[in-house]
Amino acid sequence: MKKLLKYDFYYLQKTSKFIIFPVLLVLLAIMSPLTARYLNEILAFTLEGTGIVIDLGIPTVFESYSQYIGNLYELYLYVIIFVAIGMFINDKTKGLLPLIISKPISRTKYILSKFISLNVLILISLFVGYFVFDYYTFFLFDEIDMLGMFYVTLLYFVYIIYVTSIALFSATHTKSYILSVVTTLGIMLLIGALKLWQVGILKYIPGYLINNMIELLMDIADTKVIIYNVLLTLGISSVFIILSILKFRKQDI
Amino acid sequence: MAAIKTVNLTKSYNNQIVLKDLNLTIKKGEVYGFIGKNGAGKTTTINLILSLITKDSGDIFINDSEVKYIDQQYKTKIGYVPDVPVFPGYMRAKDYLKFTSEIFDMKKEEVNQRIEEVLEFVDLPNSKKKISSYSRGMKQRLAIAQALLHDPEILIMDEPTSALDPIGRNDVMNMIYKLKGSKTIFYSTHILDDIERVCDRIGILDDGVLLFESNMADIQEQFYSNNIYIETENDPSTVMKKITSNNLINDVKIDHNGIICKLNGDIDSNTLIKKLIELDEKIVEYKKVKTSLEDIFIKLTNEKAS
Repeated sequence: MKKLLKYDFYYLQKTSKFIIFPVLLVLLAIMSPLTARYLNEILAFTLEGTGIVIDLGIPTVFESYSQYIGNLYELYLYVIIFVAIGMFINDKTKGLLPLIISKPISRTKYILSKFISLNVLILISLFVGYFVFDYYTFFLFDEIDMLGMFYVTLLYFVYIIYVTSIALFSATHTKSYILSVVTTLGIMLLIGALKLWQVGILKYIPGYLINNMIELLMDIADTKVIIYNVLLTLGISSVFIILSILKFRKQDI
Repeated sequence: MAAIKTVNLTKSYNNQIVLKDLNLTIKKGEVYGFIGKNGAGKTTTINLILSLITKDSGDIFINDSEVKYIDQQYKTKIGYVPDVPVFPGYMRAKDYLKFTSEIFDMKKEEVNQRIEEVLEFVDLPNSKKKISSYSRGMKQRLAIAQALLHDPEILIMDEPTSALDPIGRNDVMNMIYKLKGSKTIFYSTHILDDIERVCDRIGILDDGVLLFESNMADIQEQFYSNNIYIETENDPSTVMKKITSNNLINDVKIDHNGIICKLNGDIDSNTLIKKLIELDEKIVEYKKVKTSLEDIFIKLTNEKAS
């Protein structure tokens, strides 16, 4: 496993993903508090001469939090999906697999190594982003809930595990990059739609992690709900990972 | 001891059988040529041996130990050269070989020297160029290098010369020739000239069925057609007329500037040459016509088709 992890980290390094993931997060971590802090000024500048005046009031630190979380859920998430699928499917679509699997490599370890290496890189990047965001937010708003943001980062990482496990599942079950992307987004959409029924176990599906992040920062979160939410998300992720391994172990290459 | 053995190996795709009850035995130390047209099932056989695909039924043995699909350890004894090798383009040859050495748990202190050795063997410079900039021939050399790096007992090569130019093909054949005797080589191809040069034994596969298996010496004996090529100073049609009118041989055909006679047992080659001299023919060339592997291959596959 160690050898495969080394190989996968080398791939991440040589294909610049080692740089892209943290740099993108640093940019978001700087841009989010900046945008939140100067939104009124940005709007005034944009609408200058039109006669329209929009006053959003004095920005608070919560605007910075929501801006950052929003960016993580929109921009950064899609970057992760596209990169993850590429990493999981490239060996197959580019014809690298026969030479790799012809060596004494366990298929289970091969697939887990890719999943773990990518998620480790994302986790490191998230913490780089966390520190930069905390610094800039404190710099611009004179306050920061560091512990709250720490939990938010961890909860977001749980969501990333869920998303990358679906990407892994799609990449092992389909034969093309595009089809994998469509399958991943489709599965996420389907599971996300379950949010409409707020009953029983469905109250803890992965889509609720974002609600819990916001509630955490507003200090109104229910710890029990968060734990169930995390456990169910990790449970669903485990199912996708196990299904991916089972498929890949018997797959003709 | 058999280095590779398959027993009733069968594989199908979408209910279509591509390999049917294949029984192969490749002895330790021999170079085995696995011949077949495109789509005959050669690559499928290799993929099954390497557990790249699952079998429908049958058994595979490496050094007399049964191969279990999930077991990977038997692969430490094997080096594999695919027909179209694909490497991570961002790596250099040395990086890839280092990765290979780690997978095979090679001793760290020996790795660098071994890498130099195999790169020298395949005549690939240890340059800083990324693999993405390699030519087809260079990638094939690297494929051979990575297959040899851990000094495997068995080398499995899947049509390693099929997409190479004549020079590249010749180089690869020279490498195989150099390895002959030191390793068991299972070599699949549809280029028959290559096989005649390096193989000890061949197996001909057609539509997933092993049509024929024999060693090269027996093949020449078994398929020797008793054909004699004769060229004289005379026009070939005149010579042909003389031979048939004197009832020496009836099966004669013109070939280039001479004739090819099929000896039928009534007359041997010494008698024939004496008779021709008696008939005032001045012999320019007189030789046995060698049966090529291609002739055998065509004969066998045609026989099966009919």
